[in-house]
Amino acid sequence: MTADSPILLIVTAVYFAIVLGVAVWGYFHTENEEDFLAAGRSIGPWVGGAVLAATQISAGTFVGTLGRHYLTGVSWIWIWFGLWAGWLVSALLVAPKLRRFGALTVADYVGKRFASEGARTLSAALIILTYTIYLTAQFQAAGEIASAIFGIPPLTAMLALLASTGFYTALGGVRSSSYIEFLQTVIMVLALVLALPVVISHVGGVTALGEYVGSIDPRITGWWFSGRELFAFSMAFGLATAAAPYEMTRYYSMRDVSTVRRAIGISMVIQALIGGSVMILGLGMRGIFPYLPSPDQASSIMASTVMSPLLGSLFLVAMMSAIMSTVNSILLVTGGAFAHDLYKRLVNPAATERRLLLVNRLSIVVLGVVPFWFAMQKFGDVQAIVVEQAKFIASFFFVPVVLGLNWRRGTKEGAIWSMVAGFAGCLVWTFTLQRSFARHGIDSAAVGVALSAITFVLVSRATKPTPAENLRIFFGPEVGPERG
Amino acid sequence: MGFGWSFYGFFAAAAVWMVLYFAWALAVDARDHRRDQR
Repeated sequence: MTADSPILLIVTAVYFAIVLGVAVWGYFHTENEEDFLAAGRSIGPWVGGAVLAATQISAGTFVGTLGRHYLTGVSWIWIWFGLWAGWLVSALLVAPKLRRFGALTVADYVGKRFASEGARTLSAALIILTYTIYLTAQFQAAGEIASAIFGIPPLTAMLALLASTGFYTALGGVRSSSYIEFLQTVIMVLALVLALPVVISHVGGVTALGEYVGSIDPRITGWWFSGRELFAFSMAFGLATAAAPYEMTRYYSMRDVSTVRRAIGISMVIQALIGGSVMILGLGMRGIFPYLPSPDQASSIMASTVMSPLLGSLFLVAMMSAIMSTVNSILLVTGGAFAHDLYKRLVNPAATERRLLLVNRLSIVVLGVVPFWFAMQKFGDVQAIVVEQAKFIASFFFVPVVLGLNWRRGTKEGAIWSMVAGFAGCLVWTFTLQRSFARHGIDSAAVGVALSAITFVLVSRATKPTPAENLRIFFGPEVGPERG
Repeated sequence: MGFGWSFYGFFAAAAVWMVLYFAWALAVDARDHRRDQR
């Protein structure tokens, strides 16, 4: 059993030693807030691409997605195109303008584009709220995985996740986090790709696997989900990806616009490798263990019984990496939103760089503890929380970001009310008509984004345009410096 | 019944998507580079 093997201890110890070393290196290379939140604009395309992929891949991918392929087969793989459509929208309409603007947080963009401290504060507050819920899911996943594989109490696992990830995030900020995420992505890709031949050989090859799982249920090798269902899921993920704050802040840390475009492409290739591998492993586990009590057990059983102790250990560290990279990215966004957008603007505008660095670090620790408490209460299942937060982010943020960056006439009133309408629309739909989704096929994310867009256009048309000096930064020929 | 085009089609479509994306990204980079040199 991998979980009892000393190899797991060695692999985990080496992993944490490297993570700690990089975090300490980052600490000594962080002198001001720009270093902490944007890595001094130094990240290149390969590290940047790995960072974007690592933030996208979470506990949900290793446990929930693999389990979904185990249960439903091939067709879920097509939702990746929805995600990549979101990346494409970002590369075309969002990332270049944001990187040229060169700020530190997403709320920085909202405040400057709409010339409104109110819009900045609202966006920062909504980001903190939604991401706190998202963090809850990651903590719960860590607790459940550790409990299932190692038999240790979920609380211990959650404490270990909070202590380790909170520590290295607070220590080194975006600079060290980026290199740690590069390492985590390499581990995730290696673990999944190396697992393929092991699992495929267990079932006698790809063709034999297809014939066997297809005989269990033909929909496993064909289309379990209808086109309408796949489109709805894809759209929710795509809309959320195009305006995801934890991805957008990383654009600020890259060298220039060209680097951002290449990083997005590299990230999509990594996601294709990971997505394709997860699908084949899920199907392979269906071939080896056709009737597991819960599909979510497929990945942990694969790591502990199908693989060798070394490969199983690598796979378990990859699962840890997936959770840690997502937690780390969210903490950087929520900590930055609190320190840079709320504390610096509303509490202490005269704060020194030293004080801001301290507040950034403390915010990360405090904002890590809040979802930890929620996770102990277990309000919902992991995959559901992940999907719901993505829908809320899309509902209140897609329009102010994508339309705001590409339609000059958008105003601060339009931005504020579109965020309120999108959030409220998604919330109301989630608790009412979403239950009959199978009948009408209209998802809460689509409702939230549509309401947000209509509100943005109508309110903006009826209110005073944004001052020209603010618009010039995003629409004029002089779009501001690429470096900080 | 083995894997059909829902399986193999994904890999083919993903490969085409990536090739088209990088062709676009490199073309835009070249355009920006020419514009910067002017």
